[in-house]
Amino acid sequence: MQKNKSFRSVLVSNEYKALKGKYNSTIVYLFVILFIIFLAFGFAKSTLNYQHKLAGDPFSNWINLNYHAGTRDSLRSLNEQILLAPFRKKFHIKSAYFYNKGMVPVLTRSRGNSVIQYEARTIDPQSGLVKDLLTSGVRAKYFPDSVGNAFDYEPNGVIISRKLLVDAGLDQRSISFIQVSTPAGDLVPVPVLAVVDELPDMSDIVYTNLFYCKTMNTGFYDRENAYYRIFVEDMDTAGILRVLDELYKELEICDPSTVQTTVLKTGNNSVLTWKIEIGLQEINIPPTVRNRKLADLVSLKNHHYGQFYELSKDTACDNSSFFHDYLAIEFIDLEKIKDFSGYLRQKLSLQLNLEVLSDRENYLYTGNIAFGSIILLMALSVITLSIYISGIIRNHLLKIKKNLGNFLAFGIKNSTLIRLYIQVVVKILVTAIIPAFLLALICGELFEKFLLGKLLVLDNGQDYFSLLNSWFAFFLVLILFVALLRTFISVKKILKHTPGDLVYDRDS
Amino acid sequence: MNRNVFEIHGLECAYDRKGKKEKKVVLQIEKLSIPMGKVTIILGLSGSGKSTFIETLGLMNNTISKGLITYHHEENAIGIGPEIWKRPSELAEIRNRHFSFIFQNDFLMPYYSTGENILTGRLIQGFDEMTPAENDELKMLCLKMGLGFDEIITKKPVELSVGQRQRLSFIRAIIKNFAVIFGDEPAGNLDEVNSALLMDALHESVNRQCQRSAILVSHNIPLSVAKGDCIIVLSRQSGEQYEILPGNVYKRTANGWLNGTNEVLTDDKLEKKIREVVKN
Repeated sequence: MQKNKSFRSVLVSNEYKALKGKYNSTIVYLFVILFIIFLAFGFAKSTLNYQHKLAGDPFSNWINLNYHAGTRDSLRSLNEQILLAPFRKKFHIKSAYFYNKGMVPVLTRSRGNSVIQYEARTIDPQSGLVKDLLTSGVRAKYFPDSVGNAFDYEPNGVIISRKLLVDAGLDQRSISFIQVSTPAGDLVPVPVLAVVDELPDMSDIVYTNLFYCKTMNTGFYDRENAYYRIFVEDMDTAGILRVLDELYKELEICDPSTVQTTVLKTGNNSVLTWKIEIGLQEINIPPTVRNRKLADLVSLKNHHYGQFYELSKDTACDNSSFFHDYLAIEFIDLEKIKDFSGYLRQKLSLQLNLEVLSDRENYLYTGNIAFGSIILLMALSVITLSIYISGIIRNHLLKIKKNLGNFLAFGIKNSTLIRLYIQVVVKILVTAIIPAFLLALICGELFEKFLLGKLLVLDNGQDYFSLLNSWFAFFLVLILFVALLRTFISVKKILKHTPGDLVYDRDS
Repeated sequence: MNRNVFEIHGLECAYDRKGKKEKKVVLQIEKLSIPMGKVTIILGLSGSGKSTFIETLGLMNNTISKGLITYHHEENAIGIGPEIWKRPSELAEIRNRHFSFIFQNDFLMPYYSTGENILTGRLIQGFDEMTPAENDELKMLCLKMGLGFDEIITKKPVELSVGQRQRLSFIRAIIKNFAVIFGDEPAGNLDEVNSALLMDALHESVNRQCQRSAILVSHNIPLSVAKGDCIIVLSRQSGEQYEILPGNVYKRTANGWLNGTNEVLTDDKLEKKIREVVKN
């Protein structure tokens, strides 16, 4: 028995060859068109992403009022007003609180191990801003999901910006602390609770009022009243005893009974974590040396060490001796912001800086334009491609319509022919789309890396070219759907004639 | 079993006219039977409705404005009227299983190989396998038609002559499984020798299975008289309207050609008579 090709494979392979044109011209043209469209789409989408990011900035609903001798009374009065629900309702205010700004010296490995001052600001652990910070643009979190608030987990911890992470030469996958310089010049490992793309007020560090207060009073850290907190993972009780021996040895503690040590089981059932806290009072080796020793231990993963911090036991601080820097007011939306500005001017003689609002309006406007542009680009691309594809198919079918009439006379069904031509078009589109996509991706990334990235500096983490996203997937599906729909219509239109009309080339 | 493949009663074939409600009637047949197992040839002037007639019978075009055609196959009878055109899948199925076609133009796909073109009809029917016997038969048929199978099988139609393409198109039609083969001047592009070879091959194919029939349109009166089993001549009724009268239907008998009025004619006389009818 001699096996021949099926009619489907004969038609699909031959029609594909015929339609792809001499020297693959159809595929090449299609590839070029698609490549340009994909490239344009990638840049347009990244523009849209950037505009959305600017417009959707979680801090844009916050207005900060400078707290100084001239405004102190007015702001106190305003804060009291904001405590009243009708006032908040009138101006769409959600909450308000005072905060401070400061500088924190951090060891930066990427800058030659020098200590650099980074801008920091306080945050009310209970405010909505903490939640806003940890809902978008979060690069990494280092506290359990079960803990509602990051600062409840560790009030001595900080949230840092991605910029600081990069400057400090840290890896977000393994970071557990930043090394902060004390007034005495020692470096103290301070726990990092999260890394986010952006922090309010152009800060790189956000910390609690407690942290700030301690900084203002005695230095943020009192070594006389501090301890090491070390986490050890996946270890049984006997193992923990071995770990303690190892720690005592490393820290040169001859008599463990003189050191205040607590060992607590934490973690969930899947990963058992031990929290070991060792008081620092009886440790005689210099802090820098012992910290390095612990850091070396932590870096050895086979020793089961997770992370370690150096923490001060103080959980209270007297803040009566200093003033706040700002009053931050959070709005539900900015609809009443102009009324609020008028109220401040008339009643409290305060001037509100509305630049933020103006920026936000601009972002929304340009974002809408970017959105409109990308939609138009998508529509134009889909229309162009569908016209091109259907034109090719239609011209081809008109050339062979007598042959198609012959196929119909032999008893092939219209629906079968339509289905087969759709398969041919899918084959053509896929042959052009895959290399066009890959080349656009490579060119876009190279363009971003070697040209745009050097000419323009956008925010950290902002892409100049974005092709791997759900919009592009939708765009591809749309292109395929419309091209195939046009193919379906073109083939159906020709095959609506009877076989006789096609064979004898009659118009109707 | 009915010995006629088609029976026609009160048939009126008409085409739509642009901008007019009424259709243009081109052919009227009061009563006609086309015998099964025979090669029937339809003769007539150009524009007399010959192609319309076989298109109508072969379900290639919906021209029936009046009357009914009954198609007989084995024990079944299928009524062919305007209604059947509302069921396109059924039409395709009938054409697929029962009919085959040869046209004056070859309609070979230009970028398919000759081998792929020859097998198109069978492949559309779903026969994508050939037994060694069928393969040998195909080679023999090509040889009979003056075509070297191995030489032409991989060539593209454009590399062949018009006559070779015409013969290939004929082979494509007769290797398809069919009950009725329709031909619109299938030998139109062939010389006398190859035309005779084609008609002989057609007879052989029709005679191989008892229920096979062939219905051809031709302008070649001598070839039709020499090779046909039944000849139908279209005569002018009025203006551009033609008809088939019982006296213009001739069947070959042992004694000569017998028509509906029981007139018996020799080949020469029939040829002369056909020319007279066609002229008028």
